[in-house]
Amino acid sequence: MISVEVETEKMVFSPVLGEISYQEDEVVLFPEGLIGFENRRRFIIKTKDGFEPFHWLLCLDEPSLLLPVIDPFLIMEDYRPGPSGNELQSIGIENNDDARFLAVVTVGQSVDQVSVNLRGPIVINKTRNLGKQIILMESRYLVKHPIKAGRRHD
Amino acid sequence: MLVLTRKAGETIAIGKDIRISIVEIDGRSVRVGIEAPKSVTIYRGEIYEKVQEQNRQAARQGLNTDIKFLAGKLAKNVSGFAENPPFTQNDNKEERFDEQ
Repeated sequence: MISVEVETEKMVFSPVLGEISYQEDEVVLFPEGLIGFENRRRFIIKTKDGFEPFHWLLCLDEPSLLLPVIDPFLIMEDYRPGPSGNELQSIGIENNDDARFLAVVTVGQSVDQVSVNLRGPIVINKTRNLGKQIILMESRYLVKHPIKAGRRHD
Repeated sequence: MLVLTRKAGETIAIGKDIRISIVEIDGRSVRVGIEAPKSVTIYRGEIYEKVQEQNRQAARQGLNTDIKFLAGKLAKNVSGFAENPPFTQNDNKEERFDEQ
């Protein structure tokens, strides 16, 4: 007898991205929410054609909540986030192998004013799908680190 | 709000787990030491507010064409997704605090 396990595909409607399908195992749980959105706990990370390497953090509890994010190591090659204490223990991260970092992107008045939050990265436990936004002690990382068109900021 | 006057070297206890010490007073600056359980996250107030505001701003912008424009530029420059480097110890001693 052959048993086939079928993953059930789920749908969410984002006012910005449209119909989005996802699997339950893609859902990342943020037990403490995001800073400023403490009651929003379940998110998925999606890409959209033409927008990579940016990704979208889409909230399943409130699908109108959508944040553009990017791998901070693409913005700053020598980015060294050093969480203080055991801040990441609540999401089961003991070492770097478990962690994926994302930085929230904001757009200002023009394309020259796009910035990335390197001070308050989102950290995801890749194996357990748990997430948390932390604030780094290192003051050299900016909440609004500018990205300029055409070149990397290293 | 409870307002207390303290001198350098004096402390404030909050509950049984949190202790705040006035380490040094220098003109308009006060150095404060905080002892708290590791589960308590401690941030400078203004940084927390900045991150909150940045998240809210990020959530308002939708499929901004500036992001798409930058995506095209970045995609050409990015040779590959770098693996996350290991955590590093916080080497900024001034900002360190002792934990219980």
